[in-house]
Amino acid sequence: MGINLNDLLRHYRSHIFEDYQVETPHTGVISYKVQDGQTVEGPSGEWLQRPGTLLYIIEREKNVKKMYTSWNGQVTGIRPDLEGHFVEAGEVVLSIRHRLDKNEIIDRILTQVLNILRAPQQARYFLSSDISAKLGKHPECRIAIEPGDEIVIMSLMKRDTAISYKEASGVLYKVYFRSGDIVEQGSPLLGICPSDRLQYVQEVVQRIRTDWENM
Amino acid sequence: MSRNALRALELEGLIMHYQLQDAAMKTDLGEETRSKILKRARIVGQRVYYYKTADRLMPLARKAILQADSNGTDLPSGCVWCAGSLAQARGRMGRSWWAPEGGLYLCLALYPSLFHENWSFYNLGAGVAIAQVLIEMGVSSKIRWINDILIRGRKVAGVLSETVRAPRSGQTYLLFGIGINVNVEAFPRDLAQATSLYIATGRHWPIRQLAARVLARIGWIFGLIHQWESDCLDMGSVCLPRNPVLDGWNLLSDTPGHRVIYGLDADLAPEFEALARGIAPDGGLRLVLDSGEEIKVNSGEIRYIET
Repeated sequence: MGINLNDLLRHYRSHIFEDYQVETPHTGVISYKVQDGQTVEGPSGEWLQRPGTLLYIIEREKNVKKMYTSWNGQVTGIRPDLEGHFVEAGEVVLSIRHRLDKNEIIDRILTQVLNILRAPQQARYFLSSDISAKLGKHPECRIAIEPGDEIVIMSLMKRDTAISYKEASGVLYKVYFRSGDIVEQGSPLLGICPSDRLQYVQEVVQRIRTDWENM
Repeated sequence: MSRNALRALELEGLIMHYQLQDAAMKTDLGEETRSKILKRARIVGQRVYYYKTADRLMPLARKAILQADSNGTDLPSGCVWCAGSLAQARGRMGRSWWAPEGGLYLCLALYPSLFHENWSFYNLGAGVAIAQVLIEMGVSSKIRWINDILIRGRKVAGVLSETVRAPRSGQTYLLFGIGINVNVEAFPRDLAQATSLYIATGRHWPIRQLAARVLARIGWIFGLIHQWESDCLDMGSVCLPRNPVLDGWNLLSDTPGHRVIYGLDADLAPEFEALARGIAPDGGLRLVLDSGEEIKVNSGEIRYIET
């Protein structure tokens, strides 16, 4: 298996925070709208249509862009020396310290246990009609996936591309997107659990659910 | 020889005729460049399959690709499937596309040889080709992003595309499904936004000639975009040549300036309204939201909001 569950749990207990660096998307003069230690909220709403907390404003040639946080957490690493000054693109202007919750821990561990199919490029994704129909009828069923199966459709510029599964046979364990979502390049789409690992994975998930309650 | 085979041969001849005509008209290009573009253009329509009626054409093309692959060969690039009517035609999002006799229904299978990041220009280029041909025939048409063709705001033609990979050879094909409402005299009530050349002009149009002209022009535009890509590589990043598909699209589209509804399915699941600003260098659509923020979308679709 190559994964020691106790080690993983120990790791996440001691690293319960993740730090996300916030970089400037382009050059401009920045003006902070948050302070160190301030709690910020990520995007919300059914479609994440409501932006997160406003972090800073960057102005380039009278074009003002508002930059919002993508994560919940606490602001750290504000750089007062940059306030009101011109910065280059890619400059780290602050960080967000995000506390992982139980489901995020499970997600991170699953990405190490499952065969993850990732988005080859930013596009809209759909489950193949076959999988979609099966899940529609029995949402909890474990669908068998074989190498060569067309499992996801990528839609870009009115061009549909079927994406085939190439790893070992298994069952569909996790779907990381909603049909029709725009998914960033490299983000997970599906998690396939090799059949011989299924019981182990279920034990892992159960153990985390139980252990995390006790922390 | 069957009647379908005869029609296919006739269409192959007509396509070649219009390909040569297109090349002859482009006197602004040097002889060498023109000949390179024509060589690429002539890939389209090398082999035509005609059916008086079929269920759908894209599954036929997919089946032919997989069949050839299982026989250890590759289906040649540029094959065309053409039908007089389709029994089970559909558009995006599983929408029905009414495809009775009197329409033009095509599927084109191509090896994509542009760099992957430029594949969008195939889809945009197909729309530009159809709009150019209609305008040259005297029908005032416009492109709505990405490649819907409208006459006075109603859809007369649409293009779908799919990628198919032959499992044994690994050869990737792009399939383009093209539907043009030519001599259709009326539409069902649920297709109120559709029109035809007949409805728009009050006269019948020769379908085979139109098919040949559209396919020839698609080939020519694909040839142009290959030449553009090749010129870009030759010139490095010093002074990039103008993109002929984007130029054509900008000339023929009425999308920029329109207030639009955007969504994966703009009819049934609209996501937001915005002002269409124009097309981005990669073919995406630049939209200005009501907040003033500008975004770019590369998937989904739009509908115009008439004011």
